[in-house]
Amino acid sequence: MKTALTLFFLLFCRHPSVLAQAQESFPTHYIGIGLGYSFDHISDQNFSPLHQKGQGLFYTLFYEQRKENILKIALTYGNNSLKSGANDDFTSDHYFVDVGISYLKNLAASDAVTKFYLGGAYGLKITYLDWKDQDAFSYIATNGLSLSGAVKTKINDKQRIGTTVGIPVVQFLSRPPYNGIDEFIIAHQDNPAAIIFNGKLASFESYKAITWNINYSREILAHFNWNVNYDFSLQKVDQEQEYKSISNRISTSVLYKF
Amino acid sequence: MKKIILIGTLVLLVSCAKTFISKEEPLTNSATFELFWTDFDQHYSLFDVRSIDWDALYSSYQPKVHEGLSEADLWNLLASLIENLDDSHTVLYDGNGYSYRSGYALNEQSIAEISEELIRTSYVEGLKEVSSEDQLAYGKIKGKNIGYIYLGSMDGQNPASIHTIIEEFSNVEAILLDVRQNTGGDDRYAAAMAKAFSDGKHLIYTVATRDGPNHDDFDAKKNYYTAYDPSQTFSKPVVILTDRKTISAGEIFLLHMKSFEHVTQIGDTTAGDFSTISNMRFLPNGWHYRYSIQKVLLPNGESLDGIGHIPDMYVKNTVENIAAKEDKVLDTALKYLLDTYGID
Repeated sequence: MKTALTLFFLLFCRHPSVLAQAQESFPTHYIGIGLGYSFDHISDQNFSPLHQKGQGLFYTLFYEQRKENILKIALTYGNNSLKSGANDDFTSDHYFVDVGISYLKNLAASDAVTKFYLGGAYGLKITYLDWKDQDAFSYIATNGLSLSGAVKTKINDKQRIGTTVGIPVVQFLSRPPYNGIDEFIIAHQDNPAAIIFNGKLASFESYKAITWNINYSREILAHFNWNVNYDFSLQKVDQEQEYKSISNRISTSVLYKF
Repeated sequence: MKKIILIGTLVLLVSCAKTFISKEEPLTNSATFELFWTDFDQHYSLFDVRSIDWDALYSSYQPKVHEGLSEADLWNLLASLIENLDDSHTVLYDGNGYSYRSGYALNEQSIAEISEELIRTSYVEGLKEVSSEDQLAYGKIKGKNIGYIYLGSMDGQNPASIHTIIEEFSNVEAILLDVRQNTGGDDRYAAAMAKAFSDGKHLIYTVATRDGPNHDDFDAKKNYYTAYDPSQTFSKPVVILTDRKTISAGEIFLLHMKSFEHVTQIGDTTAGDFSTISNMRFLPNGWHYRYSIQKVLLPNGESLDGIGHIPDMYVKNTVENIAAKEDKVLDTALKYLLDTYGID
């Protein structure tokens, strides 16, 4: 944990700021909107001994600033239905929200075709499961810092491909109490934010996750890019009520360049 | 080459993901029984309070489980297992509209031991329902200066509506507060309703929630007190009417009310089920269930779970009483007010 933190702060603190570099040449800004399809598989012992499986649409909104380094702010929201039981007897509503800000520093020469990046991200990730209007519910909320590494390469002047991997290093984790409900939940049932952010700093042993993205980008007009993404993520909470999730997401997005 | 590495990595990740999440529970009678028994063993809160030897029940029931059992046989076996808990917060649902509630026979019987029609026609004049609330109605006892309030659940939206009723009753000499068949709901609503009758701040109960796999794993007790606002309280005699189906938040309401000096309980002993119920729990075959997850204790450490609120004056109706247009509980309450306070 200490090594990861040191690395994280070195990356961010060695060079004073993104703005300082922006004075050297003009960055390119992008805003994008995307639509995707998520395939989710969740095993949440707090919610049910049965696996929850399903798929559905999700939406993304993001801003990117690219120059030598990359700054990205992204919001993802999705909801779908997950089935469980031997004959898919139970259908639960599944909601997820991811908010993240990441900064990737280029480690390669500025004119290199293939660039390597290392950086960090702050992310808030909330997953909520609900069966029949809270007859049963569960959630996992994390917020904290991750380490990210990326490789991006130019296929030609109009096409790029890249991959990014993120591993959380310092995370505040919020999960339901052992029995799903306790006096804190009852007292704050009208204030979900208080419940969601009632997290504790999770050790690396108790919370593990990884995110992996493959991105293909093509310039379709002078001011427009078209992206195709594949995102894979794993989450694992090693507590008495174990939580594991796998998510495969395919999405496409349009970016406006300015 | 790059493409091959990429596709190879993808295939590897997807394969790893399949082993990442453990295998699902199989759809067998044995697995269903084990899942059900173990879930109670690790989460149910009242084994000690209700003196239940859950391991002994396993030894008794588990040998009866085999794959030859029909669905109905397995249902009856699980229903019989939870009947030992005598806890009507413990319910098994089949997913098709049928359910089995533990320890519910007396509660169910009490449904026929009260009649709204009889109360309307023979006892209360001008019974008005409060439309914003769930089963809240009030009127005056016929020919007497006594108010009558019926409160059938603790699920309303605006507990302050009780103050409007109390204002209308500012000139009555006493109130009969009828919580027979009160199905419970939100403990906070119960506390807010009780505040309208409060005579001070009293420590009334503590709550601890089971938080671990051992039967005695509980989180820190939380203390609960009555609320008090001297400018908004009814301090004249109050008789609270109960029956066997006064349950859960209805019984939490009684914990508040019975701490007040001017309140008397008349009727039947209540259900004795105080805990908050769990989230719904699931079985692979589509059945689902709930149970108690908390321990509600009196300030002296005793529990009323499985016992209920024992009334100051015990009286209950029979089906024959109701058929004869007689509500003995109401009659007894009116006689009590006359004998004790001279209120007629």
